[in-house]
Amino acid sequence: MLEVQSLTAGYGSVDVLHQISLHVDAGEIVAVLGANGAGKSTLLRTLVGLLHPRLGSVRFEGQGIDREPPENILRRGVALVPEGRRIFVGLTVLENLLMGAYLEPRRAVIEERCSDIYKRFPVLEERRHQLGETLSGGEQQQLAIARALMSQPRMLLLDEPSLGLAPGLVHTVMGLLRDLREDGLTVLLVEQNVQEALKVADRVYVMASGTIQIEGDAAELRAGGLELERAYLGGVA
Amino acid sequence: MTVELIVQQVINALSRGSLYALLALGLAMVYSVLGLMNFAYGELVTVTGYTMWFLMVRGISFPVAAVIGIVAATVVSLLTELTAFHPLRRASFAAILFSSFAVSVIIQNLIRQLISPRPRGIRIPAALDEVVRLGPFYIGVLSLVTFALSLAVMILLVAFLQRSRWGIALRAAAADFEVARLVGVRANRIIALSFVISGLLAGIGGVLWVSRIGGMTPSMGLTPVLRSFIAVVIGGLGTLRGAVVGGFVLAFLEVALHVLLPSWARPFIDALSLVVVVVILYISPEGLIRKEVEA
Repeated sequence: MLEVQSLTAGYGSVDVLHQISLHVDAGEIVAVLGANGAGKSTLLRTLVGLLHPRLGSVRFEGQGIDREPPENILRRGVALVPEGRRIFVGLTVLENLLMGAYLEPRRAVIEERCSDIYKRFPVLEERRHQLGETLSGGEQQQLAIARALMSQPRMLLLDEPSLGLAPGLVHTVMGLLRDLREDGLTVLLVEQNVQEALKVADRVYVMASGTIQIEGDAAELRAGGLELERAYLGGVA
Repeated sequence: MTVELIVQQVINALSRGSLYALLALGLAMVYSVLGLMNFAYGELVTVTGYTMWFLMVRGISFPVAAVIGIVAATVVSLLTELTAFHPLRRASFAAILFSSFAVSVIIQNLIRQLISPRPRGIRIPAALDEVVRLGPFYIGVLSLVTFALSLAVMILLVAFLQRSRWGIALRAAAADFEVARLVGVRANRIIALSFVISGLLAGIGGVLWVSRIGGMTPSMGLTPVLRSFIAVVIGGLGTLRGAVVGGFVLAFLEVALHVLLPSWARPFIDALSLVVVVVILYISPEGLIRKEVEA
């Protein structure tokens, strides 16, 4: 579904990603693991068009998207839940959700999506007229995911959804990703929380200093943790 | 001091404050979305004034000239974005700021060259100069019109920002420009929209401004942009509510100084109000309204 080939990208004249290649098949949950500064967020920013690669290509369902602006990539069905949730401050929960469906002009369709979202996240319906920033951390993460789902994507990218959440809530978020996959969504998850990510993912890439160090089945990596740890810490395994 | 005088001055300050608030909103609108303090904003008031003068000396009536003047300010605001700011999207903050100064200088000198460096005047409808009596108070019609019109425009703006799809998108872009792009808002369109609204507000404010002073000079934009800038800074950079609060605070300050100071000290009112602004910022460096709590 998503194919990344020899992607090199960065800011200004500094490359952060070096020759990254990875792929995500339809219906998979793929995790990209790595420490701070490994280039995970830069990878996601490049995939959604906030950043254009210097070299290499990104293809979604066979079509090149690496020169497209963010709104076109969203239109094709790829949505990102950004790091740190980034709820729109000053907008109510409902307005945050409506912004998620910004590209959909039909009111009736938007309302239908809202009621679907409320079924999955009842707390958002309760608080729909509250300002987004007044929600708790866990609720804000739900809102951030819900906002991305409002565009009805076929592929969801998440940048460290576990960041700053209590362990119980992390578990809930990971369970949610499993549910979304059941409903036909493909998921690319970027995480520092290795254990939780390994529980939910089918396949895993480990990044360090802007390159892919390891690629493998989550089940295999769960078994042989040593190799993973060494790569994770930036050493070449 | 009599109660009548105080009420009279409060009305005066409300009228002036509503105009400052209206003008400051236009400056804050672009700042909140693009992070640019557009110092060519005052020239939009100038463009409104000269457009009205150009039409009125050719026999066009005041109301029609005013509407076309507002349209002219809006068009010039959008053109400024397209020619002076859009090409510099990836440039440094300083480069964009200097570009706004350049636009300001270019518009002023175009007017000096094409029209005249000397002042021009227009005939304000006599009705605006009249004074109505409300009980014991005498109120200028222009003050009433200024207050009512500014208030109406601000209410319309709030309704637009709260209810419409584009309005919500503008607020979202002001809160987090990058995430707004992630949900599909086109960066250039939303920036253009902020310049259009900014131009509209400068145009409407410009008509009221010109009606107050009855004439125009090429450099007349300095006072409104400076007042707006001070209002935006007092209120808290980048929040629209802050711009409104700042506009009223500044106006009340000016009127209070005008009333309280002896006549020999009145030339220093501008300096003194700036001193008070400095004191406000010393006590509350982020302005009176903080961005986090804006609704």
